[in-house]
This record gives sequence, structure tokens and C-alpha cells, in this order.
Amino acid sequence: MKSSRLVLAEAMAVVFMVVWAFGCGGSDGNDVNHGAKAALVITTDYQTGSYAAVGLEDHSVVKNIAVIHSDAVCRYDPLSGRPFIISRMGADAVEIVDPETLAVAGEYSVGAGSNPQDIAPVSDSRAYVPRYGDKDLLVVNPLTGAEEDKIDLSSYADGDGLPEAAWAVAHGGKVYLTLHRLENFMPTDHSSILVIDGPSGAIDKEVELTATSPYGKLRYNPFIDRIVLVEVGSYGVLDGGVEYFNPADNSVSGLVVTEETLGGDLSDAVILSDTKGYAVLGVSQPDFSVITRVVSFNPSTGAKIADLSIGQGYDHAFIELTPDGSQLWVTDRNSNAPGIRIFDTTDDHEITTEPIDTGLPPFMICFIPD
Amino acid sequence: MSVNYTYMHALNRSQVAYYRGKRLPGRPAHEIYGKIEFGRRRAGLGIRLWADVDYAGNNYLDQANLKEDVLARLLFGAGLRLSDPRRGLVVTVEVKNLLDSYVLTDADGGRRPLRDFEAFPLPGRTIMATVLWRI
Repeated sequence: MKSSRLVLAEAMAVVFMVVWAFGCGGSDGNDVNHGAKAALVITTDYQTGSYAAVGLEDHSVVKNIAVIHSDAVCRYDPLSGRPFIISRMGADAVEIVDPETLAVAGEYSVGAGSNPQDIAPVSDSRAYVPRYGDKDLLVVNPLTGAEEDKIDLSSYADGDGLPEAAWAVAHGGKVYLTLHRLENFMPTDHSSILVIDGPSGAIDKEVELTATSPYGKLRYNPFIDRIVLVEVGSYGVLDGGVEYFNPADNSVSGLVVTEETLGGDLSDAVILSDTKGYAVLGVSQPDFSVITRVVSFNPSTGAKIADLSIGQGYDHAFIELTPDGSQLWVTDRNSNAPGIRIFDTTDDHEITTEPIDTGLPPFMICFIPD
Repeated sequence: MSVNYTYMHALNRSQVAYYRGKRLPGRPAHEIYGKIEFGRRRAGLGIRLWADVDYAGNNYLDQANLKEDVLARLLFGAGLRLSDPRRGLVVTVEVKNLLDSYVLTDADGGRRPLRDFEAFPLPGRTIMATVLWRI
């Protein structure tokens, strides 16, 4: 049930989006919105979840549009033009976000205790929902939640009977699904990516990854025509890296950059070009604490380029490139002044003079393209 | 008759930007408890009757003050105690939440469970009986 405060926030979101739309409607071709009309920012303090909208041009913010689960991620669906919010363990639900108002337009359960991780729509009536806590890959109508199918993944599982299906992304009629294959949250012998035929659900192929536990968000990258895998391996051990999956021949590249070179456990990475990428690292300290860093690297040489930001703790969560690649948006969760920080990808200088306040600390960003 | 009232202006004064100035969760600003009691003793037997009222103002469930408020609640109770000191016998019957309210309606017409903490709804009308016999 919504309190009057939340209704007011949603109303403000509508006004914001309308004003924003008018404000940008007069653009005479200058690409000032970086290929997106807004950024939906998932925020959380791990007790309460919410989300905010940030304008691409003026960085105006509508905070706390609605209260959501404290453990949630977002996924923009280019087919329907809608962002989805996946509410993970404990909520086990998917929320549909209206792309114009950014209000929650619908919600459905995907099974109590199932711990959904992502959603990959392949049509307006078929979407794949990987669930960490279930051996079956759920297929639903993305707008109603009606169950269309279940695909048994137990033959891909490790010893605990669950394959830990996690991120999924749809591209070119296929769905690419990562299987973490963990036992007690520790990697087993390998992790893999499944290639699934979107319309039928038939599994075309399983491909073993070079490292294990692809924790970072799975994204198809149009700049290099590859799916980027961010493999953390075991935490505290520099055994992971970033690798590419080539959808043309269903092959993996091997690690293009390693945790050992970057100096920390990978939690996310995005690729700008053949020679430029960005990653978020968890770096163990001598006192056994962990700090996070945002770094740039060269995927062609596998070399680290520079530190962009060094947090004091787990300050940095997920990062995202604007659709045109001109900016890197970084989540900064430091408790004194959390928010979104923006870097210019041409020379990596920070554009923001202070973090863009999103209310609760930002966790993940989903751009809503034009 | 006894009445007590508590006012708390409990704010988070930490340096955490998204908590500072927010109300502490689970700490309503206003709480009132009142009880009126009658007692009689006749032929060595005692009887006591009472009614009470328990009010707690609305409050938040989370440090960020974003989650739904716990709505203000007003509960009534009543009790009866019969005692026979010669036999060491005391019988008490008490009713809590006399009006059996377990759902509250918020300003938007939404129905919410009566609760003090998230996921812990308070019970509806509850009748308790105690027999105490000192041998």
C-alpha cells in the first residue's frame, strides 16, 4: 500500500518526466542527452530500497520514486522500451516500470524463495527469469507474469543440484544465461554460459568460462559486438578477469584483463572500445578490510591504465556507460555524500563536482534510451 | 486511575547523509497509556475490574524513513480479577485488543496490518485467563 508521501513522489516523477520531455524536445540535433532520456537508479542502504530518476542533461533528480526491495537490480528491455526491476531474495518478484512516468506499473511474483536475478525478454509475451534458488529457468509473459514455460537446468548444476542461474541478456533472438554453479556461495569446478533459443527455449550450447562466478552484470556491448563477462572467481583470490563471449560463434575469448593485473576482485566492468574499459574492484587491505576502486584498463593489452576513484569501503557498486559511450556513470555509496559520479570517457576526467544525490546510496544504473 | 504519556523527539544525528535528521524507527513521538480500575472487598472476597487504553503514534520501520509508517494505533483492554485470600485463590480474566482491530486503513484507503515492527503483526482480540492457587 502506498502512503501519501509515496504517491506524491510518484506524482513528482511524472511531472519531472513531462518537464524533462518538453525540455529536451526542442533539441536541434545536439546530442546532449547521450542517447538516453533518463537514468533509472536503483538505490539501497540494504535495509530499504528505492529508485531515483536522473536527467541526462541537467542531472536533475527525482528521488525515492517508490520503495522497492532492498536487494534489487534493474534491466532495460529494448524490445518493449520498459525498464524492469528484479527484486531478489525475500521479495522474489519483478516490477514493471512505466518508461514515461517511471512509476511502477505492475508487479508479479516469480516464486517464493526463488531469488530471481534478472529478466531477459525476447518478445512482448516471453521473457526468461533466471532464479538462483531454483533449478528451473522460468519463462513468463514479461508484462503479466503469467508462466509460459519452465526449463529444467538441473543437468547443468553442480553438486547441490542448483546451477545458480544468474544474469541473462537477450540478443539476436538468443538468450545468454550465466550459470554460477556455486556451493555454499563458493565457486565449483567451472561456471558457464548457456545459449538458449529465445522463441523455443531450446538450449543450443553450454560454454565453460575461463574463470568462475560471473558476478558482474551481463551486457551485450554494441561497441565491440560481444557479450562481456565479469568473472570474480573466489573472493580474496585474484583468480578472475573479464572475458568476451562472441555470439557469432559461441566462443569465449579468454581473459582480456585479469584480476591479478588490476589488483582486486572484480565486481563489474564495462567496455568502451577495443582499447578502453572500466572496472570496479574490491581491494583487500592489510587490516583485512576491503575498499573498492574504479579503474580503467586496456582490453587489447590487458594492462591497467589508471584509477578513476578510490573508495573508503564498499563505496562503489555497479557502473554504466551512457548509450553513446561518452560518459561513465559510477555509483558512489560513501555514507557522507553518496550519489552518482560522472566521468568523461574521452580523457576520464570527472564531470561532476560532487556526487548527484539520489537519496539512498546508488547501487545500479539503467539508462532508458531515446 | 493512572495515566502516562511519553513524548519522544528521536532523531538520527549521525553523519550518514541519508539518515541524518530522520526519525528513529520504532520510536513513536507520542505514547499514552491509561487505566481505570475499581476494586471491592466483601465477605473476604475481592473483585477488581479495570479497563485500559493504549495509544502509540505512527512511526517508521526503517532508518531511511521511506518504508510505510506503522500507523497510529489505539487499543482497548479490560480485565476482571476475583480473589479469595483465605483459600489462596486468584482468578484473572483479561481481554486485550477488545475491539479486535488488526487491520488499519491508511490515508489512501489502503489496509495495513496492525503492527509495531515489520513482519510482526499484532494479534486481534486476545482473551487470557489465569488461575493462581497458593497451596
